[in-house]
Amino acid sequence: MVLKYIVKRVAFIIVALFFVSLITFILVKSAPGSYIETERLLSQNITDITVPPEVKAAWEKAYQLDKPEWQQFLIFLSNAARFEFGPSFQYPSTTIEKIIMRTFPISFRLAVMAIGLALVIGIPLGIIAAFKRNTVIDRIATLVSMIGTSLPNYVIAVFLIYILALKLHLVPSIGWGEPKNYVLPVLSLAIAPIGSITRYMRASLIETLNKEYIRVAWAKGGGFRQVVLKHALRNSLIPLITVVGPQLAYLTVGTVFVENLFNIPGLGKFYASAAIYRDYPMVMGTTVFFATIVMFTNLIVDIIYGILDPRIRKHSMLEG
Amino acid sequence: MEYLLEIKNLKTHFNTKEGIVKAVNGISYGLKKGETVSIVGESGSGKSVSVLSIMRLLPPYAKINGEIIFKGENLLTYDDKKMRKIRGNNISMIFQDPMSSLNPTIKIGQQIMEPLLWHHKVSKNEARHKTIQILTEVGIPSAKERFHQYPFEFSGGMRQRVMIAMALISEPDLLIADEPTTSLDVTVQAQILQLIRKIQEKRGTSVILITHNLAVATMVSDYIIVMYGGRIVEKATTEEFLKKPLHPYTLGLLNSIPILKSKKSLNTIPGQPPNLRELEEVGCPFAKRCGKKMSRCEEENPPRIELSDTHIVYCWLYE
Repeated sequence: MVLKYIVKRVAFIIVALFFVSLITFILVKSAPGSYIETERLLSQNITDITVPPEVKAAWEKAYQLDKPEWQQFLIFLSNAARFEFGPSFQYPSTTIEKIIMRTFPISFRLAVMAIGLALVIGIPLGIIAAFKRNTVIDRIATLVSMIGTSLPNYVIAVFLIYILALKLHLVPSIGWGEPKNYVLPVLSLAIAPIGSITRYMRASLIETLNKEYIRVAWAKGGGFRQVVLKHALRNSLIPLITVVGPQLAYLTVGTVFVENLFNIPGLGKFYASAAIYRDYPMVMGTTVFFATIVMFTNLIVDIIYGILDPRIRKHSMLEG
Repeated sequence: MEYLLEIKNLKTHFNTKEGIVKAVNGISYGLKKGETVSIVGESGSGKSVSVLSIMRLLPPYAKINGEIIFKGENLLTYDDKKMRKIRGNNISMIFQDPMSSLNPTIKIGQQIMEPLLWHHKVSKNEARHKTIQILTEVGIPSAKERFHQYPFEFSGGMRQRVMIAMALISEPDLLIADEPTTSLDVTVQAQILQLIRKIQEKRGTSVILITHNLAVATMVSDYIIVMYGGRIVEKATTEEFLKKPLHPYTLGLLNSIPILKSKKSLNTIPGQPPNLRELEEVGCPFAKRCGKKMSRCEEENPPRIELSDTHIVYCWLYE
């Protein structure tokens, strides 16, 4: 039964991915500029961007760009289905899937660490804010979470570099490979989710505490441990999963700025440079990969949500 | 016989930004072991707040004054920890809406045995055994299977049975039922009331029943207390109440019960329930709506008239 539900969702994801590919393909093909021209301009500093026609023709043939566009799209689809995106323009000696496999774990690790930190800080902060609502503590928590959610992470990153690296000399501002190099990027990425998790936790817990069954639990003689930790917290954490899951997917994809800022060899960095260099196969490959990640994360979130909430587990999943 | 619960001059006021809300304004009554008393009144009469004051389940800005003597001790002198030992153990409560009174993500059986586990040193096995036993007692078939189900798998009436089981599991001396049948179908209402009465007779539990439904009150209770504007206006045994209702408000309530097939239009009590923020310190709270109002009604508090040992009315008419 649950299997039927999952199959249905996966089928939907495949359809959605087809449209994502199609739209990306059309956008990429209609965008001005081409790789060999951009590459001459950006990497070799040659202002005359005209390429000898025979060089261009040979290059296009190598990447099958001489075929009609609908054929190119079909070739892309059939390859993508097997997770093969071929070599990119920038890195002809390797394949895009190899680059993804090498760099994605870095981005993912950053995102997981950031979300982990956000949960560790955001949940207790939200609980405190909920209990001390309309006090100074609550106002501070609200302010912090508003700043966190409204400032883009690259602004926060610059701010953190200034304070922690340049002024306090606690961590290096740049470099990669050592644990201390993680501090600044993870902090920059975590601020926004800390904000949203705090606010969500606060609202969710306040809502739960006002529920009739919480009053019943007090009336049964429960104390803080029984009523708040057992009855209220569990039920207010369940909806939090719907926030955390997409946040994780969003962070994995959205590390682009932070990776470029800190020069981290993650997938976001490759994604950004692919767009700048008009590296179409790379743009296509990473976009479809990211889309897949986001959609499957949502599916996993829904499944976990169902496992935690018996009403959903026994109803919607069974009925498919 | 000594009272199990004696309320003396109970006053519950809420300090809000817009002023003090005087929900309960000095009520007194006693309840013996095994007795059932119904507190009747319209919304805002203070009936719910008066029992929530006994349980001390009110927000911190509620100020409770007076005495609540339970088994010889004043509950108002109890701290939180001592009060916790009373709740769900010596005094249990059933609430109005069974649909929202159960935690949707915890199994029924687990929720029922919680008071037992929280208050007594019992093993999980004993608690489970007792839960299944009490589920059967409140009329839930195949209790063993139902034990492992979630609230959404129960109908409204069944959930109220679960609530009753939960309230009774630690064998309380006093059961407070706050509008236990209001949100149920009429046929289910009768079943639930019968169940409460049956269990009460079998176990000798005292019951306070809060209701706005006079029919419900007369069906199950030994005594009826009518409240208005945070005060008791009339108190009588059910028999006296039915034979000789006295207070103009009581009469108004009785007259506004619809009668099937009657051609007469339904009687109502004119005016609005009082605004609890603007209640006068002196005078009868019902005076503004009373058809038999005299000038002294608004100037002096109504006298306590004892028509018998058990029938008391607060009204100048019977002086």
